Amino acid sequence: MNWLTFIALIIWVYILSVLRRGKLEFWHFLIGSAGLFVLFMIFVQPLLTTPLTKAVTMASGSIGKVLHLFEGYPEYALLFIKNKSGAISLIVDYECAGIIEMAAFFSLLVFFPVYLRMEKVIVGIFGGLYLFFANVIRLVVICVIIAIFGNEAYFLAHTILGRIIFYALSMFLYYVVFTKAQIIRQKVGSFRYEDE
Amino acid sequence: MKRSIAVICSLLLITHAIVVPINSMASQTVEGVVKEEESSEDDNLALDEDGKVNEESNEEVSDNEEEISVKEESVNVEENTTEEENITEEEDDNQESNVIEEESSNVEDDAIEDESINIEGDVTEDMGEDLLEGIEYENLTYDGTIQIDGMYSDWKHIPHTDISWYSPDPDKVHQGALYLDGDILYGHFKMNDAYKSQMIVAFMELTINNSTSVGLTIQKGTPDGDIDWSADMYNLPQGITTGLGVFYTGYPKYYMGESVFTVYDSNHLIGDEVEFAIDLNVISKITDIPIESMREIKLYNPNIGSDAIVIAGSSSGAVVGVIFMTVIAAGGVLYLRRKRISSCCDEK
Repeated sequence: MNWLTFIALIIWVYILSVLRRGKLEFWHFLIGSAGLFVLFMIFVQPLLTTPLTKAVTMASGSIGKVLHLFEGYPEYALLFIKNKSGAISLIVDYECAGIIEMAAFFSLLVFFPVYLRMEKVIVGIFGGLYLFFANVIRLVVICVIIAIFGNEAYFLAHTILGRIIFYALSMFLYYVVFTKAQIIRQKVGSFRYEDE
Repeated sequence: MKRSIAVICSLLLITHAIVVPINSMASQTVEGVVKEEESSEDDNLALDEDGKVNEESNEEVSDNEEEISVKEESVNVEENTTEEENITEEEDDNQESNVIEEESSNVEDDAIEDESINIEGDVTEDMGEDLLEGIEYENLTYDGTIQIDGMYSDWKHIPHTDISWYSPDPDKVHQGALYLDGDILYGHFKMNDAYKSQMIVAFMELTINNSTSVGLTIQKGTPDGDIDWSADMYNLPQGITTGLGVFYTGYPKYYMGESVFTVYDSNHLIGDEVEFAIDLNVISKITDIPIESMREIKLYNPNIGSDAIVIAGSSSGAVVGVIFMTVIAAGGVLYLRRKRISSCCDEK
């Protein structure tokens, strides 16, 4: 951590305290989650990326091995797909491991006022696992489509179908965790939450 | 507020404490795999980094044969001085000794040629280092999983694509692989033993995103960073030829990275191998495609087969996705809240 980051951290914490005392809940949520996301990407993402990419590759490769359609090489973070038009190697880097989505989810959850602290921990764990397996499903779908239809299907599989599936699964998670909980737990009238 | 800060800090500390040992275990995997392969291949190594093993073995063979020829000569001399034999037998002995002498002299010549090749190889290594001078991308192949050194054990566990010109025999195909490490793209080709001809790397085609193609060639370089067209890349000597480079076939002749070519046998009874590195920053400069936008990279060597090696990213589109989902979630809250308020008002 360099001195600039440390000063930014101090300023961020101070701003949060000001917003909390001023009861500006929305801005507290916005600035808190944005700041935590940045901190997560600076400090936690470099540490988690490698094991997460290997874990995703291992999980996807295991499914591919069962299906006999593709293979995973976790030590190189590669998924290797042989098909009728040759072969293709899919690199699983930090953009593909789901670390950014997990960071965003955790950052939003920590500052989401609906849940109690222990609920946040449990929802965070299950949400993280959900995003991990959603990413695995995305990669498996991409690999299966390429294995069946050839390398020409890469653009369709990766850019369109895979992302639609992942966005749909993520939207469901966000709906259940944030939207539905917000609606169920809030009281109509003077705006307050169930635990207040 | 203090509790939330304490919870955040403790969570960060816990993740650090959990992830650091996991990361170290994960990073050991590749090194452990490579080390296991290197230890199991000690007995089967034919060439080391400088070809000294081959050179020493050739020298030992030539020395042994020299000793045999010397002994046989001495035996022939003794036979001539001590016994009177049929002229044909003497002639046969002389012929045999001459044949053996010729063989030993041929082996000596080969050994001398190998030495000169290796000397030239050392010179080309210096030239290779000279080529890198002035080029901002120095040490393209250090500190990576793959080393461009003529030793191909680091490619052992990377999956290879079968390459051929419609070979009906699946065992008689060449092998090729790509590996991306940061901004450096490493490539490896191995000829099949059945073809008994030198692998040609005079022209390859790199295609980015199925749309933009860049012509590449592996050649020897001059000290000023240009291609040494006088070098015969179609008849490379036995051994490891270093000091090669990957160049752009267009103009100007951008130098992209190192290459090493290995000829195991002068008659190519064992398939040749080549490994090389390509700096994607140079490709980005030529094609005006940012490295982050290079979704799919395809390498095609028409001299060995119609199949291309393809490597692709699998980005999940995280930034767009997170923004999209956050907007959807927030929009959903607003919509459902208004619906609930209106339904409550209607009930009243």
